Amino acid sequence: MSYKLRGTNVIAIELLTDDSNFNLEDIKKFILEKRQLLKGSRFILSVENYKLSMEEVEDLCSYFVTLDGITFCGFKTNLRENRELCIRLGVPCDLSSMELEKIKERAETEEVKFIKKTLRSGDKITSTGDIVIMGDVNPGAEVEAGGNVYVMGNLMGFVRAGIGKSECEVRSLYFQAPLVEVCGRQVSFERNESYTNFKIAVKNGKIKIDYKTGRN
Amino acid sequence: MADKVICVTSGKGGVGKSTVTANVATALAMKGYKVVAIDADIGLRNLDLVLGLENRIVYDIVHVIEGVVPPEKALVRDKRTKNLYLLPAAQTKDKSAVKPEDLVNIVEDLRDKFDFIFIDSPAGIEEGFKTAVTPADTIIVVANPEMASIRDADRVVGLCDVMQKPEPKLVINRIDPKKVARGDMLDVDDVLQVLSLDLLGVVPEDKNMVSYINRGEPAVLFEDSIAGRELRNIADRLLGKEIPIPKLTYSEGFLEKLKRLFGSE
Repeated sequence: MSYKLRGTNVIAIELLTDDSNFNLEDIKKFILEKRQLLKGSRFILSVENYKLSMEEVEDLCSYFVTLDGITFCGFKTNLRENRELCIRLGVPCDLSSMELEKIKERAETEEVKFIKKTLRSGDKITSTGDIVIMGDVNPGAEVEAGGNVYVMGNLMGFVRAGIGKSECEVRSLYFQAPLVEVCGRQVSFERNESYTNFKIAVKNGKIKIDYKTGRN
Repeated sequence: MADKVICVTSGKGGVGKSTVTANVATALAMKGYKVVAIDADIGLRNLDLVLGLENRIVYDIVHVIEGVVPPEKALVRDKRTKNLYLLPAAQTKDKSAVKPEDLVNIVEDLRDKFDFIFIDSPAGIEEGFKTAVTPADTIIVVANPEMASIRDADRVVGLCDVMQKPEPKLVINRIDPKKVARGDMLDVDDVLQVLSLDLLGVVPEDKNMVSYINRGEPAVLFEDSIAGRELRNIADRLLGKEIPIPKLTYSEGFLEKLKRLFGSE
């Protein structure tokens, strides 16, 4: 039986299983096969919708302890029962859906700022969430947002969007800025480059730039 | 009558604040209005030179603030243009010698006695700038058609907004129609696109301006000066007259056409 490993997560390598393919012996065999790959890393077992029993958890935990060089960090599951069981046994367990709930919570507490003027050189606007600007952002002005930035005018200043996030977008009717920072990644543009209906977005770790026409 | 106390500022230095102040004040005085120009650039005074009054200064603004003389006694009267007076800045002190409330007091003293009070602001956005802007009813921002000057002017406009002053009016100074036609210089629309202010005037580059300043004779005194003509228009617009901003025109001379034909610059 073969399982999928997800290693893009910088925190730990995740072994993906679910109720269709969960089998104790197969998992152990698979880990043994991939031992070289997992060595030195932290390891998470994701069981999605499979309902774990107490014996299985204890069995797996005692097995992971015997593995040399692999640090077992706990389970990941969609089911609340699994989490409660793990907590009872003192094994770390994260609820996948809880992460989504957390993101949603954060989105609700974030503010959305409306700026009804042109930002002039030296002005600085910050927001934990999105910012909508009904005017221009002139050269020398700064906008910092935890979320997205929308400019209903000419964007010529510096925008830093999606601070601490993995996804965000910046849109403006006209764009003529030398530099934009999206999700901590800087994108620079040539002098005298200008666009209409400009959009720069980060999605799935990729930066996508979209515009209708260049003005010059 | 339009607003009385007019502050001329720019943020960046060397764009022509003192020149615009001196010329517009002179133009208004020539029309019979009683005008005083206050030099608020303490420590780096220039306005007296542009007006040609440097050899007649006895008392300055710091003497007035210290109570040595009343404001009327420190005023220097222009012999050439009646009705024009200058309150010079101190050259030996620095900007901290004048506080915003001091200038407000001086302006209030002079308000009833004059038709127009011009304040020539220092460059920068620090104390001196704030002092100069505080008593003003109207602010004129002078900008050259270049990005550095525009960005500084933009910053000044933002600060005026913070100080709850009315939106400044814009004077674009030293625009060269030849360079604009060649695409080497920003044109009026480019400047307005960033600053989006009411345009009070566009003063073209004038090669004689340096000699006017060195001689201490404002350009508005000369009928044939191209900059002087537009500076007189600015004075008229301040009086509320509707004068359209002239279009910048440039026609290539015969020699330039010939040069272009042979591909040399």
